[in-house]
Amino acid sequence: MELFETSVILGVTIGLVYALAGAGLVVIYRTSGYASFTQGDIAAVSLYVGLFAYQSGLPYPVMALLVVAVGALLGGLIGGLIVVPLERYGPLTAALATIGVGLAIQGTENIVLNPDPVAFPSAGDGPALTLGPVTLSVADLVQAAVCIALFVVLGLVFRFSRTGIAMRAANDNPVAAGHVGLSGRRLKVVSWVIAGGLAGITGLFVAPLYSLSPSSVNAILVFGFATVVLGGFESITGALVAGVLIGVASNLVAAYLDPQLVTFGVYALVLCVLLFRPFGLLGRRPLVRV
Amino acid sequence: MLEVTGLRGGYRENVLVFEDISFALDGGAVGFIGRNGAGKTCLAQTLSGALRAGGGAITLDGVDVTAGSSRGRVRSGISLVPEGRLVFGQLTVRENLVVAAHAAGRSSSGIGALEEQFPILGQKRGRPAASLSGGEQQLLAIARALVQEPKVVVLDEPSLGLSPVAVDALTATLRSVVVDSGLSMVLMEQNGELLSGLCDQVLLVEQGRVVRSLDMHDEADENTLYESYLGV
Repeated sequence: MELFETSVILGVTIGLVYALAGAGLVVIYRTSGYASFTQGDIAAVSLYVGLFAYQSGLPYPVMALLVVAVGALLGGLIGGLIVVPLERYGPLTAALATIGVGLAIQGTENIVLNPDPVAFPSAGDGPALTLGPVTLSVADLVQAAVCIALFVVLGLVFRFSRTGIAMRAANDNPVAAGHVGLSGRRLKVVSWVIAGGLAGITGLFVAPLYSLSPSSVNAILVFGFATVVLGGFESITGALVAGVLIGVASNLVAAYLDPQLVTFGVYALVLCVLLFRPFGLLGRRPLVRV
Repeated sequence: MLEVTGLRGGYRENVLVFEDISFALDGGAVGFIGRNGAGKTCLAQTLSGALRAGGGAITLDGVDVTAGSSRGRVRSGISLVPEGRLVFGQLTVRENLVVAAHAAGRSSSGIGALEEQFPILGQKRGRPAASLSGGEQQLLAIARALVQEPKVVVLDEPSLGLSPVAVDALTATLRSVVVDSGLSMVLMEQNGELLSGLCDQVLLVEQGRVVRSLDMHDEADENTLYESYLGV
Protein backbone atom coordinates (compact mmCIF):
# COMPACT_ATOMS: atom_id res chain seq x y z
CA MET A 1 0.00 0.00 0.00
CA GLU A 2 2.88 2.29 0.85
CA LEU A 3 4.40 1.67 -2.58
CA PHE A 4 1.06 2.45 -4.21
CA GLU A 5 0.64 5.71 -2.30
CA THR A 6 4.20 6.76 -3.08
CA SER A 7 3.74 5.99 -6.77
CA VAL A 8 0.50 7.96 -6.94
CA ILE A 9 1.72 11.03 -5.04
CA LEU A 10 4.99 11.29 -6.95
CA GLY A 11 3.13 10.44 -10.16
CA VAL A 12 0.82 13.41 -9.66
CA THR A 13 3.80 15.68 -9.00
CA ILE A 14 5.66 14.73 -12.17
CA GLY A 15 2.39 14.41 -14.08
CA LEU A 16 1.72 18.11 -13.51
CA VAL A 17 5.02 18.85 -15.28
CA TYR A 18 4.03 16.58 -18.19
CA ALA A 19 0.76 18.45 -18.29
CA LEU A 20 2.56 21.79 -18.43
CA ALA A 21 4.71 20.52 -21.30
CA GLY A 22 1.51 19.51 -23.07
CA ALA A 23 -0.12 22.90 -22.36
CA GLY A 24 2.63 24.65 -24.34
CA LEU A 25 1.80 22.47 -27.31
CA VAL A 26 -1.94 23.07 -26.89
CA VAL A 27 -1.50 26.86 -26.84
CA ILE A 28 0.20 26.88 -30.24
CA TYR A 29 -2.13 24.26 -31.70
CA ARG A 30 -5.19 26.25 -30.67
CA THR A 31 -4.16 29.31 -32.65
CA SER A 32 -2.22 27.76 -35.52
CA GLY A 33 -3.53 24.22 -35.96
CA TYR A 34 -0.15 22.46 -35.88
CA ALA A 35 2.28 21.20 -33.25
CA SER A 36 5.57 22.83 -32.34
CA PHE A 37 8.55 20.50 -32.04
CA THR A 38 10.86 23.20 -30.76
CA GLN A 39 9.53 23.61 -27.23
CA GLY A 40 12.34 21.55 -25.67
CA ASP A 41 14.99 23.57 -27.51
CA ILE A 42 13.47 26.89 -26.45
CA ALA A 43 13.59 25.57 -22.89
CA ALA A 44 17.23 24.48 -23.28
CA VAL A 45 18.41 27.92 -24.48
CA SER A 46 16.48 29.64 -21.67
CA LEU A 47 17.97 27.26 -19.11
CA TYR A 48 21.53 27.80 -20.33
CA VAL A 49 21.02 31.57 -20.02
CA GLY A 50 19.54 31.03 -16.56
CA LEU A 51 22.38 28.75 -15.50
CA PHE A 52 25.01 31.29 -16.53
CA ALA A 53 23.12 33.98 -14.61
CA TYR A 54 22.80 31.70 -11.56
CA GLN A 55 26.49 30.84 -11.63
CA SER A 56 27.18 34.57 -11.81
CA GLY A 57 25.39 35.05 -8.50
CA LEU A 58 21.76 35.71 -9.47
CA PRO A 59 19.34 34.35 -6.81
CA TYR A 60 17.21 31.34 -7.86
CA PRO A 61 13.84 33.18 -7.99
CA VAL A 62 15.25 35.94 -10.21
CA MET A 63 16.99 33.35 -12.37
CA ALA A 64 13.68 31.50 -12.73
CA LEU A 65 11.96 34.68 -13.92
CA LEU A 66 14.81 35.28 -16.35
CA VAL A 67 14.40 31.76 -17.77
CA VAL A 68 10.68 32.37 -18.32
CA ALA A 69 11.33 35.77 -19.92
CA VAL A 70 14.00 34.37 -22.26
CA GLY A 71 11.70 31.49 -23.19
CA ALA A 72 8.86 33.89 -23.97
CA LEU A 73 11.14 36.18 -25.99
CA LEU A 74 12.68 33.30 -27.91
CA GLY A 75 9.25 31.78 -28.55
CA GLY A 76 8.01 35.12 -29.89
CA LEU A 77 11.05 35.53 -32.14
CA ILE A 78 10.89 31.98 -33.54
CA GLY A 79 7.16 32.19 -34.04
CA GLY A 80 7.04 35.75 -35.35
CA LEU A 81 10.07 35.70 -37.62
CA ILE A 82 10.22 32.11 -38.87
CA VAL A 83 7.30 29.78 -38.25
CA VAL A 84 4.21 31.99 -38.57
CA PRO A 85 5.42 33.62 -41.83
CA LEU A 86 5.96 30.11 -43.23
CA GLU A 87 2.32 29.22 -42.58
CA ARG A 88 1.46 30.67 -45.99
CA TYR A 89 2.98 27.48 -47.41
CA GLY A 90 0.71 25.35 -45.23
CA PRO A 91 0.65 24.02 -41.67
CA LEU A 92 2.87 21.07 -42.54
CA THR A 93 5.63 23.43 -43.69
CA ALA A 94 5.29 25.43 -40.49
CA ALA A 95 5.40 22.30 -38.33
CA LEU A 96 8.46 21.02 -40.19
CA ALA A 97 10.09 24.43 -39.72
CA THR A 98 9.80 23.95 -35.95
CA ILE A 99 11.84 20.74 -36.30
CA GLY A 100 14.42 22.60 -38.38
CA VAL A 101 14.64 25.42 -35.86
CA GLY A 102 15.04 22.90 -33.03
CA LEU A 103 17.85 21.08 -34.81
CA ALA A 104 19.56 24.40 -35.62
CA ILE A 105 19.38 25.41 -31.96
CA GLN A 106 20.79 22.06 -30.81
CA GLY A 107 23.56 22.24 -33.41
CA THR A 108 24.50 25.75 -32.33
CA GLU A 109 24.50 24.74 -28.66
CA ASN A 110 26.75 21.77 -29.43
CA ILE A 111 29.25 24.09 -31.14
CA VAL A 112 29.10 27.04 -28.77
CA LEU A 113 28.65 25.23 -25.44
CA ASN A 114 30.04 22.17 -23.74
CA PRO A 115 27.36 19.61 -24.66
CA ASP A 116 28.07 17.39 -21.64
CA PRO A 117 25.20 17.27 -19.16
CA VAL A 118 25.51 19.73 -16.30
CA ALA A 119 23.62 19.86 -13.02
CA PHE A 120 20.83 22.43 -12.83
CA PRO A 121 19.67 23.92 -9.53
CA SER A 122 16.16 23.32 -8.16
CA ALA A 123 13.90 25.52 -6.04
CA GLY A 124 15.09 23.67 -2.90
CA ASP A 125 15.87 20.14 -1.77
CA GLY A 126 14.78 20.51 1.83
CA PRO A 127 11.64 18.74 3.10
CA ALA A 128 8.49 20.84 2.87
CA LEU A 129 5.48 18.57 3.31
CA THR A 130 4.85 14.98 4.34
CA LEU A 131 1.97 13.18 2.66
CA GLY A 132 1.63 9.63 4.02
CA PRO A 133 4.83 7.80 3.20
CA VAL A 134 6.15 10.58 0.95
CA THR A 135 8.05 13.68 1.99
CA LEU A 136 7.82 16.31 -0.70
CA SER A 137 10.71 18.72 -1.13
CA VAL A 138 10.40 22.47 -1.51
CA ALA A 139 11.02 21.99 -5.24
CA ASP A 140 8.19 19.41 -5.49
CA LEU A 141 5.79 21.73 -3.71
CA VAL A 142 6.76 24.79 -5.74
CA GLN A 143 6.45 22.72 -8.91
CA ALA A 144 2.96 21.50 -8.03
CA ALA A 145 1.75 24.93 -6.91
CA VAL A 146 3.10 26.73 -9.99
CA CYS A 147 1.67 24.12 -12.37
CA ILE A 148 -1.79 24.23 -10.78
CA ALA A 149 -1.79 28.05 -10.71
CA LEU A 150 -0.73 28.21 -14.36
CA PHE A 151 -3.48 25.83 -15.43
CA VAL A 152 -6.07 27.92 -13.65
CA VAL A 153 -4.75 31.09 -15.31
CA LEU A 154 -4.53 29.48 -18.76
CA GLY A 155 -8.03 28.07 -18.46
CA LEU A 156 -9.45 31.45 -17.47
CA VAL A 157 -7.55 33.30 -20.20
CA PHE A 158 -8.74 31.00 -22.98
CA ARG A 159 -12.27 30.76 -21.68
CA PHE A 160 -13.04 34.33 -20.73
CA SER A 161 -10.46 36.87 -21.89
CA ARG A 162 -11.06 38.68 -25.17
CA THR A 163 -7.58 37.81 -26.40
CA GLY A 164 -8.09 34.16 -25.45
CA ILE A 165 -11.41 34.00 -27.31
CA ALA A 166 -9.80 35.77 -30.27
CA MET A 167 -7.03 33.15 -30.32
CA ARG A 168 -9.64 30.38 -30.46
CA ALA A 169 -11.51 32.26 -33.21
CA ALA A 170 -8.35 32.62 -35.30
CA ASN A 171 -7.87 28.85 -35.12
CA ASP A 172 -11.55 28.09 -35.74
CA ASN A 173 -11.81 30.06 -38.97
CA PRO A 174 -8.76 32.07 -40.06
CA VAL A 175 -10.58 33.59 -43.06
CA ALA A 176 -13.47 34.80 -40.92
CA ALA A 177 -11.00 36.09 -38.35
CA GLY A 178 -9.44 38.26 -41.04
CA HIS A 179 -12.84 39.52 -42.16
CA VAL A 180 -13.86 40.64 -38.66
CA GLY A 181 -10.58 42.50 -38.33
CA LEU A 182 -8.56 40.16 -36.12
CA SER A 183 -4.85 40.13 -36.72
CA GLY A 184 -4.26 36.38 -36.96
CA ARG A 185 -0.52 36.89 -37.16
CA ARG A 186 -0.40 38.93 -33.95
CA LEU A 187 -2.50 36.37 -32.09
CA LYS A 188 -0.26 33.54 -33.26
CA VAL A 189 2.85 35.38 -32.13
CA VAL A 190 1.18 35.92 -28.74
CA SER A 191 0.57 32.17 -28.53
CA TRP A 192 4.25 31.54 -29.31
CA VAL A 193 5.25 33.98 -26.55
CA ILE A 194 3.00 32.17 -24.06
CA ALA A 195 4.22 28.74 -25.21
CA GLY A 196 7.84 29.90 -24.99
CA GLY A 197 7.31 31.07 -21.42
CA LEU A 198 5.67 27.73 -20.58
CA ALA A 199 8.65 25.90 -22.12
CA GLY A 200 10.95 27.88 -19.83
CA ILE A 201 8.89 27.03 -16.74
CA THR A 202 8.69 23.36 -17.72
CA GLY A 203 12.45 23.34 -18.22
CA LEU A 204 12.99 24.73 -14.72
CA PHE A 205 11.22 21.67 -13.31
CA VAL A 206 12.71 19.10 -15.68
CA ALA A 207 16.38 20.16 -15.78
CA PRO A 208 17.11 19.34 -12.12
CA LEU A 209 15.83 15.78 -12.78
CA TYR A 210 17.45 15.09 -16.17
CA SER A 211 20.41 17.56 -15.84
CA LEU A 212 20.93 20.08 -18.63
CA SER A 213 22.32 19.33 -22.07
CA PRO A 214 21.29 20.54 -25.54
CA SER A 215 18.96 17.57 -25.92
CA SER A 216 18.07 16.54 -22.36
CA VAL A 217 14.99 18.77 -22.01
CA ASN A 218 13.57 17.27 -25.19
CA ALA A 219 12.85 14.14 -23.14
CA ILE A 220 9.89 16.01 -21.73
CA LEU A 221 8.57 16.63 -25.24
CA VAL A 222 7.84 12.91 -25.61
CA PHE A 223 5.60 13.03 -22.55
CA GLY A 224 4.21 16.38 -23.65
CA PHE A 225 3.05 14.91 -26.95
CA ALA A 226 1.63 11.84 -25.23
CA THR A 227 -0.24 14.24 -22.95
CA VAL A 228 -1.89 16.25 -25.71
CA VAL A 229 -2.72 13.19 -27.80
CA LEU A 230 -4.35 11.62 -24.78
CA GLY A 231 -6.04 14.77 -23.48
CA GLY A 232 -6.98 16.32 -26.82
CA PHE A 233 -4.87 18.73 -28.82
CA GLU A 234 -7.18 21.67 -28.17
CA SER A 235 -7.94 21.14 -24.50
CA ILE A 236 -5.96 22.76 -21.68
CA THR A 237 -8.01 20.78 -19.15
CA GLY A 238 -7.40 17.64 -21.19
CA ALA A 239 -3.64 18.25 -20.96
CA LEU A 240 -3.95 18.55 -17.18
CA VAL A 241 -5.97 15.36 -16.78
CA ALA A 242 -3.83 13.40 -19.24
CA GLY A 243 -0.55 14.63 -17.76
CA VAL A 244 -1.51 13.51 -14.27
CA LEU A 245 -2.85 10.22 -15.65
CA ILE A 246 0.39 9.53 -17.49
CA GLY A 247 2.50 10.53 -14.48
CA VAL A 248 0.63 8.18 -12.15
CA ALA A 249 0.45 5.34 -14.69
CA SER A 250 4.19 5.62 -15.40
CA ASN A 251 5.05 5.38 -11.73
CA LEU A 252 2.72 2.42 -11.17
CA VAL A 253 4.20 0.58 -14.15
CA ALA A 254 7.72 1.29 -12.88
CA ALA A 255 6.85 0.23 -9.33
CA TYR A 256 4.84 -2.94 -10.01
CA LEU A 257 6.11 -4.14 -13.40
CA ASP A 258 9.39 -2.92 -14.83
CA PRO A 259 10.82 0.62 -15.13
CA GLN A 260 11.85 -0.23 -18.69
CA LEU A 261 8.20 -0.73 -19.58
CA VAL A 262 7.27 2.88 -18.75
CA THR A 263 7.54 4.28 -22.28
CA PHE A 264 5.73 1.23 -23.71
CA GLY A 265 3.06 1.57 -21.03
CA VAL A 266 2.50 5.26 -21.78
CA TYR A 267 2.03 4.64 -25.49
CA ALA A 268 -0.16 1.59 -24.87
CA LEU A 269 -2.39 3.75 -22.65
CA VAL A 270 -2.53 6.49 -25.30
CA LEU A 271 -3.40 3.95 -27.98
CA CYS A 272 -6.16 2.37 -25.90
CA VAL A 273 -7.76 5.74 -25.15
CA LEU A 274 -7.55 6.86 -28.77
CA LEU A 275 -9.32 3.72 -29.92
CA PHE A 276 -12.38 4.84 -27.99
CA ARG A 277 -11.81 8.63 -27.89
CA PRO A 278 -10.05 9.57 -31.15
CA PHE A 279 -10.06 13.28 -30.26
CA GLY A 280 -8.57 12.58 -26.83
CA LEU A 281 -10.17 12.37 -23.41
CA LEU A 282 -11.48 15.95 -23.42
CA GLY A 283 -11.01 16.85 -27.09
CA ARG A 284 -14.17 17.55 -29.06
CA ARG A 285 -15.06 16.32 -32.50
CA PRO A 286 -15.14 19.43 -34.75
CA LEU A 287 -18.75 20.54 -35.12
CA VAL A 288 -19.50 21.19 -38.77
CA ARG A 289 -22.90 21.96 -40.18
CA VAL A 290 -23.55 20.09 -43.42
CA MET B 1 -20.67 59.20 -45.81
CA LEU B 2 -19.13 56.51 -48.01
CA GLU B 3 -17.76 57.63 -51.34
CA VAL B 4 -16.32 55.19 -53.83
CA THR B 5 -14.67 56.67 -56.90
CA GLY B 6 -13.34 54.80 -59.92
CA LEU B 7 -12.62 51.70 -57.83
CA ARG B 8 -10.95 48.78 -59.56
CA GLY B 9 -9.57 45.56 -58.23
CA GLY B 10 -9.14 41.81 -58.47
CA TYR B 11 -7.88 38.80 -56.61
CA ARG B 12 -4.40 39.40 -57.98
CA GLU B 13 -2.81 42.63 -59.11
CA ASN B 14 -2.67 41.63 -62.77
CA VAL B 15 -6.12 40.00 -62.90
CA LEU B 16 -8.76 42.70 -63.00
CA VAL B 17 -12.19 41.55 -61.82
CA PHE B 18 -14.05 44.85 -61.61
CA GLU B 19 -13.34 48.44 -62.63
CA ASP B 20 -14.66 51.96 -62.61
CA ILE B 21 -17.07 51.41 -59.71
CA SER B 22 -18.36 54.71 -58.32
CA PHE B 23 -21.16 55.43 -55.89
CA ALA B 24 -21.90 57.52 -52.82
CA LEU B 25 -23.96 56.54 -49.81
CA ASP B 26 -25.03 58.52 -46.78
CA GLY B 27 -27.43 56.27 -44.89
CA GLY B 28 -29.81 53.82 -46.55
CA ALA B 29 -28.81 50.94 -48.75
CA VAL B 30 -27.35 50.47 -52.20
CA GLY B 31 -27.38 47.13 -53.92
CA PHE B 32 -25.28 45.42 -56.56
CA ILE B 33 -26.89 42.70 -58.62
CA GLY B 34 -25.17 40.50 -61.14
CA ARG B 35 -24.60 36.92 -62.12
CA ASN B 36 -21.97 34.63 -60.65
CA GLY B 37 -18.55 35.88 -61.65
CA ALA B 38 -19.72 39.48 -62.15
CA GLY B 39 -17.25 40.62 -59.48
CA LYS B 40 -19.59 41.22 -56.54
CA THR B 41 -17.64 39.23 -53.93
CA CYS B 42 -14.37 40.72 -55.09
CA LEU B 43 -15.89 44.20 -54.79
CA ALA B 44 -17.27 43.42 -51.31
CA GLN B 45 -13.88 42.20 -50.12
CA THR B 46 -12.14 45.23 -51.63
CA LEU B 47 -14.56 47.54 -49.83
CA SER B 48 -13.90 45.68 -46.56
CA GLY B 49 -10.12 45.75 -46.98
CA ALA B 50 -9.68 41.98 -47.36
CA LEU B 51 -8.43 42.64 -50.91
CA ARG B 52 -6.24 45.53 -51.95
CA ALA B 53 -7.75 48.00 -54.40
CA GLY B 54 -6.01 48.19 -57.77
CA GLY B 55 -7.01 51.82 -58.24
CA GLY B 56 -9.61 54.43 -57.37
CA ALA B 57 -10.52 55.67 -53.93
CA ILE B 58 -12.69 54.75 -50.95
CA THR B 59 -13.38 57.59 -48.53
CA LEU B 60 -15.39 57.42 -45.33
CA ASP B 61 -16.55 60.73 -43.90
CA GLY B 62 -13.93 62.44 -46.01
CA VAL B 63 -11.07 60.19 -44.83
CA ASP B 64 -9.29 58.13 -47.49
CA VAL B 65 -9.32 54.51 -46.30
CA THR B 66 -8.35 52.92 -49.61
CA ALA B 67 -5.00 51.60 -48.42
CA GLY B 68 -6.23 50.11 -45.13
CA SER B 69 -6.33 46.41 -44.21
CA SER B 70 -9.44 44.61 -42.94
CA ARG B 71 -8.42 45.49 -39.40
CA GLY B 72 -7.98 49.16 -40.26
CA ARG B 73 -11.21 49.22 -42.28
CA VAL B 74 -13.19 47.67 -39.40
CA ARG B 75 -11.76 50.16 -36.95
CA SER B 76 -12.56 53.06 -39.26
CA GLY B 77 -16.18 51.90 -39.55
CA ILE B 78 -16.64 49.45 -42.44
CA SER B 79 -17.69 45.90 -41.47
CA LEU B 80 -18.28 42.92 -43.72
CA VAL B 81 -20.87 40.16 -43.55
CA PRO B 82 -19.04 37.66 -45.74
CA GLU B 83 -20.52 35.26 -48.25
CA GLY B 84 -21.35 31.94 -46.60
CA ARG B 85 -21.63 33.71 -43.20
CA LEU B 86 -18.32 32.32 -41.92
CA VAL B 87 -19.29 32.34 -38.25
CA PHE B 88 -16.83 30.87 -35.76
CA GLY B 89 -18.50 27.48 -35.47
CA GLN B 90 -16.72 26.15 -32.40
CA LEU B 91 -17.25 29.38 -30.46
CA THR B 92 -20.53 30.13 -28.76
CA VAL B 93 -22.91 32.71 -30.17
CA ARG B 94 -21.88 35.19 -27.50
CA GLU B 95 -18.19 34.54 -28.04
CA ASN B 96 -18.68 35.30 -31.75
CA LEU B 97 -19.99 38.72 -30.76
CA VAL B 98 -17.32 39.32 -28.12
CA VAL B 99 -14.52 38.56 -30.52
CA ALA B 100 -15.96 40.86 -33.20
CA ALA B 101 -16.28 43.74 -30.73
CA HIS B 102 -12.72 43.09 -29.58
CA ALA B 103 -11.41 43.13 -33.16
CA ALA B 104 -13.01 46.53 -33.75
CA GLY B 105 -11.66 47.94 -30.50
CA ARG B 106 -15.19 48.29 -29.10
CA SER B 107 -16.44 47.22 -25.68
CA SER B 108 -18.81 44.27 -25.29
CA SER B 109 -21.50 46.53 -23.83
CA GLY B 110 -23.49 46.57 -27.08
CA ILE B 111 -24.03 42.81 -27.08
CA GLY B 112 -27.02 42.95 -24.73
CA ALA B 113 -28.85 45.36 -27.02
CA LEU B 114 -28.13 43.16 -30.03
CA GLU B 115 -29.45 40.12 -28.20
CA GLU B 116 -32.65 42.07 -27.63
CA GLN B 117 -32.75 43.09 -31.28
CA PHE B 118 -32.17 39.46 -32.36
CA PRO B 119 -33.87 37.46 -29.56
CA ILE B 120 -32.92 34.08 -31.02
CA LEU B 121 -29.25 34.94 -30.52
CA GLY B 122 -29.94 35.81 -26.90
CA GLN B 123 -31.75 32.52 -26.38
CA LYS B 124 -28.88 30.57 -27.93
CA ARG B 125 -26.00 32.66 -26.63
CA GLY B 126 -24.27 29.68 -25.00
CA ARG B 127 -24.57 27.33 -27.99
CA PRO B 128 -21.78 26.72 -30.51
CA ALA B 129 -22.45 28.80 -33.60
CA ALA B 130 -22.11 25.72 -35.80
CA SER B 131 -25.26 24.30 -34.20
CA LEU B 132 -27.43 27.19 -35.47
CA SER B 133 -29.61 26.93 -38.56
CA GLY B 134 -28.52 28.71 -41.75
CA GLY B 135 -30.88 31.63 -41.10
CA GLU B 136 -29.74 31.94 -37.50
CA GLN B 137 -26.10 31.88 -38.59
CA GLN B 138 -26.86 34.69 -41.03
CA LEU B 139 -28.40 36.71 -38.20
CA LEU B 140 -25.30 36.03 -36.12
CA ALA B 141 -23.04 37.15 -38.97
CA ILE B 142 -25.06 40.38 -39.24
CA ALA B 143 -25.03 40.91 -35.47
CA ARG B 144 -21.29 40.26 -35.48
CA ALA B 145 -20.88 43.12 -37.93
CA LEU B 146 -23.25 45.41 -36.02
CA VAL B 147 -21.49 44.90 -32.68
CA GLN B 148 -18.50 46.56 -34.31
CA GLU B 149 -20.58 49.79 -34.39
CA PRO B 150 -19.91 50.39 -38.09
CA LYS B 151 -20.89 53.34 -40.23
CA VAL B 152 -21.13 51.06 -43.27
CA VAL B 153 -21.99 47.35 -43.45
CA VAL B 154 -21.11 45.42 -46.60
CA LEU B 155 -23.18 42.26 -47.02
CA ASP B 156 -22.10 39.65 -49.54
CA GLU B 157 -24.99 37.46 -50.72
CA PRO B 158 -26.81 37.40 -47.37
CA SER B 159 -29.73 35.43 -48.85
CA LEU B 160 -27.51 32.62 -50.14
CA GLY B 161 -28.84 29.22 -49.09
CA LEU B 162 -31.83 30.60 -47.21
CA SER B 163 -35.44 29.54 -47.75
CA PRO B 164 -37.90 32.13 -49.15
CA VAL B 165 -39.43 32.50 -45.68
CA ALA B 166 -36.01 33.08 -44.15
CA VAL B 167 -35.20 35.63 -46.88
CA ASP B 168 -38.41 37.54 -46.06
CA ALA B 169 -37.45 37.58 -42.38
CA LEU B 170 -33.94 38.66 -43.28
CA THR B 171 -35.25 41.50 -45.46
CA ALA B 172 -37.41 42.76 -42.60
CA THR B 173 -34.48 42.54 -40.19
CA LEU B 174 -32.12 44.40 -42.47
CA ARG B 175 -34.74 47.06 -43.16
CA SER B 176 -35.17 47.67 -39.45
CA VAL B 177 -31.40 47.85 -39.01
CA VAL B 178 -31.09 50.49 -41.74
CA VAL B 179 -34.02 52.52 -40.44
CA ASP B 180 -33.22 52.26 -36.72
CA SER B 181 -29.46 52.63 -36.75
CA GLY B 182 -29.07 55.06 -39.62
CA LEU B 183 -26.03 53.25 -40.92
CA SER B 184 -25.27 52.70 -44.58
CA MET B 185 -25.54 49.28 -46.17
CA VAL B 186 -23.96 47.91 -49.33
CA LEU B 187 -25.49 44.66 -50.56
CA MET B 188 -24.11 42.23 -53.11
CA GLU B 189 -27.05 40.06 -54.11
CA GLN B 190 -28.70 37.95 -56.74
CA ASN B 191 -32.03 38.07 -54.96
CA GLY B 192 -34.09 40.87 -56.50
CA GLU B 193 -36.80 40.75 -53.85
CA LEU B 194 -34.36 41.38 -51.07
CA LEU B 195 -32.78 44.25 -52.98
CA SER B 196 -36.04 45.90 -53.93
CA GLY B 197 -37.26 45.57 -50.34
CA LEU B 198 -34.21 47.37 -48.98
CA CYS B 199 -32.46 49.58 -51.47
CA ASP B 200 -33.22 52.91 -53.05
CA GLN B 201 -30.66 52.30 -55.76
CA VAL B 202 -29.47 49.05 -57.33
CA LEU B 203 -26.46 48.89 -59.64
CA LEU B 204 -26.51 46.23 -62.32
CA VAL B 205 -23.08 44.66 -62.73
CA GLU B 206 -21.88 42.74 -65.75
CA GLN B 207 -18.32 41.51 -66.14
CA GLY B 208 -17.04 43.78 -63.43
CA ARG B 209 -18.63 46.99 -64.67
CA VAL B 210 -21.76 48.83 -63.65
CA VAL B 211 -23.91 48.81 -66.76
CA ARG B 212 -27.00 50.41 -65.32
CA SER B 213 -28.24 52.21 -62.24
CA LEU B 214 -31.78 51.26 -61.20
CA ASP B 215 -34.04 53.49 -59.12
CA MET B 216 -36.21 51.28 -56.90
CA HIS B 217 -38.89 53.97 -56.75
CA ASP B 218 -39.30 53.69 -60.52
CA GLU B 219 -41.57 50.87 -61.63
CA ALA B 220 -39.77 50.34 -64.95
CA ASP B 221 -36.41 50.08 -63.21
CA GLU B 222 -37.86 47.67 -60.67
CA ASN B 223 -39.10 45.49 -63.51
CA THR B 224 -35.61 45.60 -65.02
CA LEU B 225 -34.25 44.41 -61.69
CA TYR B 226 -36.58 41.42 -61.67
CA GLU B 227 -35.76 40.65 -65.29
CA SER B 228 -32.11 40.68 -64.34
CA TYR B 229 -32.81 38.62 -61.24
CA LEU B 230 -34.82 36.04 -63.13
CA GLY B 231 -32.44 36.11 -66.10
CA VAL B 232 -35.16 36.91 -68.64
